[in-house]
Amino acid sequence: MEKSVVFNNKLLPYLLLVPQLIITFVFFYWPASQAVWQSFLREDAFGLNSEFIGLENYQSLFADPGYYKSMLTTVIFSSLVAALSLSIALLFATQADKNLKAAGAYKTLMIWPYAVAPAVAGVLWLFMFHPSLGTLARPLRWMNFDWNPLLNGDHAMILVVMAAVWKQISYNFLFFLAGLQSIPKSVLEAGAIDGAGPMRRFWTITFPLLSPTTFFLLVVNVVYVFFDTFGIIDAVTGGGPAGATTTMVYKVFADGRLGGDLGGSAAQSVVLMVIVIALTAIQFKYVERKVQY
Amino acid sequence: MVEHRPLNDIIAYAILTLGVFIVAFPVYLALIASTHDAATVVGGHMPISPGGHTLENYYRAVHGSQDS
Repeated sequence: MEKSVVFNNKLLPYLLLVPQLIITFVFFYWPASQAVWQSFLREDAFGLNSEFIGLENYQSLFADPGYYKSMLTTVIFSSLVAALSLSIALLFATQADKNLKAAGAYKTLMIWPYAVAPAVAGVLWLFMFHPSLGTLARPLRWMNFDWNPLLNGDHAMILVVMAAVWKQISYNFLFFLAGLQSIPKSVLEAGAIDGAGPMRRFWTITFPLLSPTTFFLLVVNVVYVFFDTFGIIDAVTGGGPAGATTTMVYKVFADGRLGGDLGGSAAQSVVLMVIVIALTAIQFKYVERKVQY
Repeated sequence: MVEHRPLNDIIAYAILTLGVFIVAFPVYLALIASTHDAATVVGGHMPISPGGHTLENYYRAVHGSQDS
């Protein structure tokens, strides 16, 4: 007796897919293809004329030492932010997952900064560490530490990393906490009965079982540091001093919007898009193998 | 959890309190700054406690007055 339901309508499934496909096309493929097309053009400063110049934008891009510098800045910035925000959030999440009386209050207090926009986060941190009006910059100065993120590139990088990590902690915390709560307690109890201490239980039971969450967060965080940190960098340093915090996405904005070089900016965003797609593909191909679902 | 050691709870509370402090301090500071006048904030000697210009600042923010 055949019990499976068969829908004979051939058209209906495609019809149901159409709204989603239209949105994806209009808001993703269309702008992306425009960027690719723009990267082959040279436009005058007023956007009146444009001529097709083939790969010239890419040639001048890869001949520009400033572009390699921004790549290096991006690598340093993104690895610092991803590593710090993930590990700090995991530390807090494991503590909040314990049987504490006030755990609920702590969880709520940890989660709410997720509602702060990147640019606002940047302003808040600049407010604390601005060399002349920062509340926390004064104690640093008082300790004879020459703190000046407006002049010193390393200090500017530290400040931007701190703001970006701060912004991302609550998001990662939320997902790590959900991941921790889905780990069956019986497995941990079995480990404890076999004589494993808290640290050993964490590294041999909790951490491997948490790997799907960690993997998901790794992908999301890499995309976050590549694209969403733009607001933070723009608010805190504006890419300075001397380009010390100009990441690739900030350079796209600086060259295209401020510098008026739309073709070169489009070429940069195409390169950036390829890099992020490649990174995500690599993560799915190699890191996902180590994930235990 | 399986075993219950008071020291573990104290460490957990300490770490969480530190975390909440880190997470909340920038926003707290912004709230405090919103209660002081511009000269106090720009002067770099802003107190950690609220000041007396709260209504004035928020009135200006809502009404979008240009003079400050």
